[in-house]
Amino acid sequence: MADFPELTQAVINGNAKKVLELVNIELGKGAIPQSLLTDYMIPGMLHVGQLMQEGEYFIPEVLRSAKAMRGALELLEPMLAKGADRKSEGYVVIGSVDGDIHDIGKNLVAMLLKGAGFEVNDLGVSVKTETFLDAVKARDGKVILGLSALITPTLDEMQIVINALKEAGLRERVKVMVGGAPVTREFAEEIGSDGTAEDAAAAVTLAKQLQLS
Amino acid sequence: MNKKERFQAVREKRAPDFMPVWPRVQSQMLFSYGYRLPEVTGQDWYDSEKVTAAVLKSIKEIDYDMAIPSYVDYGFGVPPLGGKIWIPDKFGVAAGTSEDQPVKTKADWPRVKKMMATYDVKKHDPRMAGCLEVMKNISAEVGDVMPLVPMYYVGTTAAMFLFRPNEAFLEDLFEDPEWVKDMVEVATDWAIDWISAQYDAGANSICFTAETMGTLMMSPKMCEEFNLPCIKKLVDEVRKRHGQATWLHIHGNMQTPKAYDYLTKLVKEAGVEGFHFDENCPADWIKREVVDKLGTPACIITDGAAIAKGPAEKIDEAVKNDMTKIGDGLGLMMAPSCQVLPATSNEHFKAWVDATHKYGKYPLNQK
Ligand code: B1M
Repeated sequence: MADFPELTQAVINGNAKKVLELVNIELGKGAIPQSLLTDYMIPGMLHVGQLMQEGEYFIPEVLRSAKAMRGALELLEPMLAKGADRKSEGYVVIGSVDGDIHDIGKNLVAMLLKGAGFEVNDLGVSVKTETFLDAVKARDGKVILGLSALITPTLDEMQIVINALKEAGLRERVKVMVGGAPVTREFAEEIGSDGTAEDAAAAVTLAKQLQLS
Repeated sequence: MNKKERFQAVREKRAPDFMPVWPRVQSQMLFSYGYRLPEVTGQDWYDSEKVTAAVLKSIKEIDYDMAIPSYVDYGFGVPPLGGKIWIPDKFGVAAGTSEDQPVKTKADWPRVKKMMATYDVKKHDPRMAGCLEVMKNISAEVGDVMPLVPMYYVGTTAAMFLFRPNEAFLEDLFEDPEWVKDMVEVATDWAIDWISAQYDAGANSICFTAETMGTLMMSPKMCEEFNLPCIKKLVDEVRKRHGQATWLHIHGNMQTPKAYDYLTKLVKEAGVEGFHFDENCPADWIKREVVDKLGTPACIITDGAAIAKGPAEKIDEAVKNDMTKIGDGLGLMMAPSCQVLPATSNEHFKAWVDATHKYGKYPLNQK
């Protein structure tokens, strides 16, 4: 087993108390909040994803780690927002499409995006097209719109949202990222999205690329 | 052979005339009849007449071999406990529970547990009462010749559906395992009563219980800790009260050594008679490792998404292909990876059933 720094290991173990305790200790020593996140906590979460792929971890373990991350994020967020070291990577609106109430994967994606420095507006599950549009309209400039779907029939909703963005004249400033188990690369291309990601870690990489493009 | 005899042959690992199909059809039968869910059910009502017509039409038109003789969903039981279920007004989208579950925090548990102690499954939820009404109707129509099975979840799946928001429940597994055990026990007792009520209303065959969290949402170790005792209790009670055996629908890849070990315990310790897996378990593996090695009858699986997507020729091809992988095919029937997905057309559904009957003629794969 790889040797991880204590904070990273605490995230991997999903030990929320320990993560919070270590973050507080490190902050006391003058650590930079952004670095605690990107250099210690996110690598822990990425390793959790890997353990799941290897069949070592299951969803409850992943959620436990995610919760441990979330606890520390709540503490760090105000500092990140205020601090000179805050690098906002971009603004993401995310939700599970209309008719789909699966949200475990979407929540993980949202959480890792937050952890990676994106500002995330999570609209929840079974989100109607108009709600996605309203959220996009409420924000000026570039927006990344993340659509998640787990059941095949709800995939059509992704196309509907993209069409609605076009009709509302918003498509130019919105990058659409789609994901969820039944979403394939071909499908993502076919509906005219800007890309798809297989898992939460890949979603962060994709969001960074979309922000730069 | 009639449908009852065909299924009995599978259970005894004798050759039926052709392979039977267990479609675990739920809301698909309503959508294919032309209904949207809010036309048929709500938080506290259920239209037995409409559902009866849809179930009968589905059974007659598609001609599958075994049925839940009603429309069921996993929102059953929840509203009387104070939860709100989700009944989407959209073609092909199934009903379910919402974040507004009866037990939002642990403080809600004593109240809900108390209500569970006096829960009359035949009366308290009008949706369940309506469902039983349909079971009576269907049983009167086709009960002589068709296996009609009662269906509900067990263990952690039952507790999650009845009580807690999904994600919160998955966290409970780590944060408060003793509380989870309490919830799981209460939910399983309720499940046993609900299954009994379905037998009283006309179910006439094995019991189908489902652990949909399976080894996909939980490790085999957790399954063993939280679910094995509940499944054993349900199996024993159903046998004691109704003289029937129990089959288990379980999700996840059962091929890993740890999962296979759990599977073995489900047979040897809990007394499960047969299995319905999901798309993670290939047909040849099921025949070799489950039917032949464990001696347990099971379903081979067609991916529900593939049936929904079609076209009919592709479904035909997939079934034909699976039939070549299962040797003598004894001890097997056909099922979808979970259920016939709600948005599946009757054309695709029928193509799948017909293909199974056509390519699944016994004796199979004779040299
Ligand atoms: C924006 O950019 C991005 C980028 C990447 C993105 C992304 C967005 N979104 C996700 N990703 C990606 O990153 C994530 C993290 O790595 C990944 O997310 P995933 O969500 O894939 O992975 C999660 C971390 C773990 N995976 C999951 O959480 C899904 C697991 C399975 C078992 C599952 C669960 C848990 C549930 N379910 Co449902 N469920 C199944 C699932 C089986 C399976 N094989 O997937 C599936 C998805 N369910 C299915 C079905 C049919 C249903 N479910 C239903 C309900 C439920 C529960 C409520 C019980 C529960 C959901 C709990 C919740 N709050 O989410 C019903 C639907 C209700 C509805 N209208 O939505 C119901 C219809 C069942 C019913 N009887 O009513 C099947 C869909 C089949 C299909 N292709 O259409 C299913 C594949 C099971 C099966 N084998 O048939 C990636 O996909």
